[in-house]
Amino acid sequence: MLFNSIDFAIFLPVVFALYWWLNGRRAQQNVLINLASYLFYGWWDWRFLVLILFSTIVDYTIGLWLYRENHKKTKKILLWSSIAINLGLLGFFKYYNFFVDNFVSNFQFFGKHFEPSSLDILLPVGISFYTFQTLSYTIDIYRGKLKPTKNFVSFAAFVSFFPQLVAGPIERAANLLPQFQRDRVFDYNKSVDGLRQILWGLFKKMVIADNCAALVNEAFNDPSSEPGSKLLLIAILFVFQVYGDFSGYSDIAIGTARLFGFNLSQNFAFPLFSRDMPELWRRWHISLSSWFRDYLYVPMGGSKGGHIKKARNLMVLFLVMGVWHGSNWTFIVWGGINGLYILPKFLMNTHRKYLGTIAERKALPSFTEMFLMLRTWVLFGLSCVVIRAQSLEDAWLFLSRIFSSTFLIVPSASFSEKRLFFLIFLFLAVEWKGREGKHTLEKFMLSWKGYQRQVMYFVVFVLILTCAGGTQQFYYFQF
Amino acid sequence: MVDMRYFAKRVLGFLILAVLGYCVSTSLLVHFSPKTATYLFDQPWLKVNEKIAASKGIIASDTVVVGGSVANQILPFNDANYLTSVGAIRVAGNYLLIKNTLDRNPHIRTVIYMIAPIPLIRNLSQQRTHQYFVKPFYTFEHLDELNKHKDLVELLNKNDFLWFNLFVPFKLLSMDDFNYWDGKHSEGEILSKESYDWLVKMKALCEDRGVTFNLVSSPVPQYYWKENNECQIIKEQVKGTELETLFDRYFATMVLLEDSVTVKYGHMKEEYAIRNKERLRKEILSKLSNFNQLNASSKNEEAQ
Repeated sequence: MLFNSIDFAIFLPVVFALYWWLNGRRAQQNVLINLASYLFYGWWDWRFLVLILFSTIVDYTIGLWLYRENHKKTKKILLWSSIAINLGLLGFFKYYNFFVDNFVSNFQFFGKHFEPSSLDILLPVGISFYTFQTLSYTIDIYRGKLKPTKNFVSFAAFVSFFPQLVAGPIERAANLLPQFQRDRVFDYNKSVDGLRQILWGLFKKMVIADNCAALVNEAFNDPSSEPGSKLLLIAILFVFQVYGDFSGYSDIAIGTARLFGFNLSQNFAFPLFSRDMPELWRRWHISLSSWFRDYLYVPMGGSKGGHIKKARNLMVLFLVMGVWHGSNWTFIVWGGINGLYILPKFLMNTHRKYLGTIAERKALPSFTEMFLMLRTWVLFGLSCVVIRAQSLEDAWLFLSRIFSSTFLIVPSASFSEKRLFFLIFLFLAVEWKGREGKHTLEKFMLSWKGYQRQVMYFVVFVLILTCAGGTQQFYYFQF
Repeated sequence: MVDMRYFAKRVLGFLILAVLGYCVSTSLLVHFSPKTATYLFDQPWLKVNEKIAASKGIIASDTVVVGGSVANQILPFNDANYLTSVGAIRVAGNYLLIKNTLDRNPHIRTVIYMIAPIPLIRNLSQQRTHQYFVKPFYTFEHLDELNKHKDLVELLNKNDFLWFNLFVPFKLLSMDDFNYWDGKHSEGEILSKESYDWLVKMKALCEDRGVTFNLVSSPVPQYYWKENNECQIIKEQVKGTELETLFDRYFATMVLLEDSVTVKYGHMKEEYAIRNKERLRKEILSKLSNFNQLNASSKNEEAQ
């Protein structure tokens, strides 16, 4: 069930009404959340439910066992069992074909030909997200940072909570699980703010991302028909597409959770206004990068040690993040490029230069800040060409076209394109104005009068209805 | 729970007002200012809607031109008597444009239908029919006329939610779409049966009103006719039918273009079209005039 579908528009109010009808009956509310989440997830394919149930039972059992167990070696075995089972499932469903294809082509390289039985494996939606969520639960118990819950219903609700089940934010048990174990009270202001966040999330996804997608798809289908200058613009538009799509999803997820009295963690902190690549990565998909920081980068030694060790750790971090995103060499290369972008600043210890909000309490950025933002868009956009292209060869063709003599041709724009640029300009203006809040519309209209806010909501509502691009899946579902 | 009820009331109130506001404002806009609507919403059907609105206005000239997007490239798009839109509205859509115009402009003496061969070959079982034909033409105003055509009604009713399209606000929903593509082109006949039937109606409509009807070809890429020999097949297909003279004129006015100056769907490259539109328009109209003179003199000879 997609957030931007009629199904969800019916599902959400029904579940919301039932949930608050059960106000004060926490256990029943949790059961309802479980049922609703399984319905939401099973809407794609009911067979996916078997996997999520299996994952839930395994980690619930191992979590309890780990906590009771005093023997260090057994604890280690339990932890590695959980890791092996979770990553095994993820590896099988997500990476099986990738490994088989590479295995076959390596053999062909040495003159051996054989055809392994290929499996037509369906990638369960959101498996990369909930697998990481359950993994963090067992790892935190092993580290003694978390007590396991005995309440299976609460744990199952934590794993399958429908707003963030299929594309995050990847929640830590320490943040989300306790919220299932205490009473939720309806908070009017929180719910209104949740709706604001949902509205803006829908705008980002349906108006910005889906319209960008149409243009990006056309250009990537036939890059030779566009000049290099336009292709560079397309590469940047792809960044806007992915940002609108994924941060839009996160906004809808966080806003929906707020309607039910839950607080999810912030997943995007206005990364488009980053002044360099390290800042962008601190603000982009925060729940994933912090997961890898805590469970991979820091255990490897993090930023301790000499330059070589630091560089190794950083590159491993980005390469693994690339692999997490997809089972294709393009993702690995993309991870590598982003690691290399950050590496020099990291080694010179200037990667934490920009920690605060850009142009804080100022109406507009300075020229230098504008240049830095533009530079970040270009760098990130160029790296993202690699993941958008079907293969490394296609990416190379696209990039070499950008840096050809056609780069000097001034690109022409159709009426639809001009209209899209205008919408993007509006979108950036609103995002800029709201950049000091936790989400765009949180503080944006606080000083406005009630009717002015209503008019603004109405305008966004009409834009969503009339300017939305063709219905597209959320981009991050493929991960 | 008091808060909860207040919240539900506020949200519901906003939604009702927003939906009502959306319905009223968009309907007024599309009806009274179609050009602004096209500019604001940029949906394909609104460009056709502009032409429908123009067809319902007063036209100063005694000639009206309808046709497809290639014709658009060589005609002055904004002049009131040029009602050329896109091929995807098919002959049926152009018939409705002509009918609207003749109903309100009895002084019109000549109708020119300038169309490339591809839209004549295809029928309305296409992917773009919903956006280009159903949305602009499926209105209360055209309903009686459309309902007279059993095949058309049967086709359009494949969409269970067709009736939504009678109301402007639904048409403006960008996610509203329906694919009428049946997966096949008309086989065994080059000119589709649907185009044939509507052309017969178009001709009859003009004859009834005492209006000269000219079927004229917009410029066509060379490869299209040379390789497929479709020109000859269509000639054979209409031989001996009431459309024979109409198609004689159609082929006589055909201007062939170098393949290198055309792009997909037989459109001309933009720069080429801008540079040559004047010349091409004159060439086609002079061919039409020559044909009509020849035809008139041969008729005179026959009469004598």
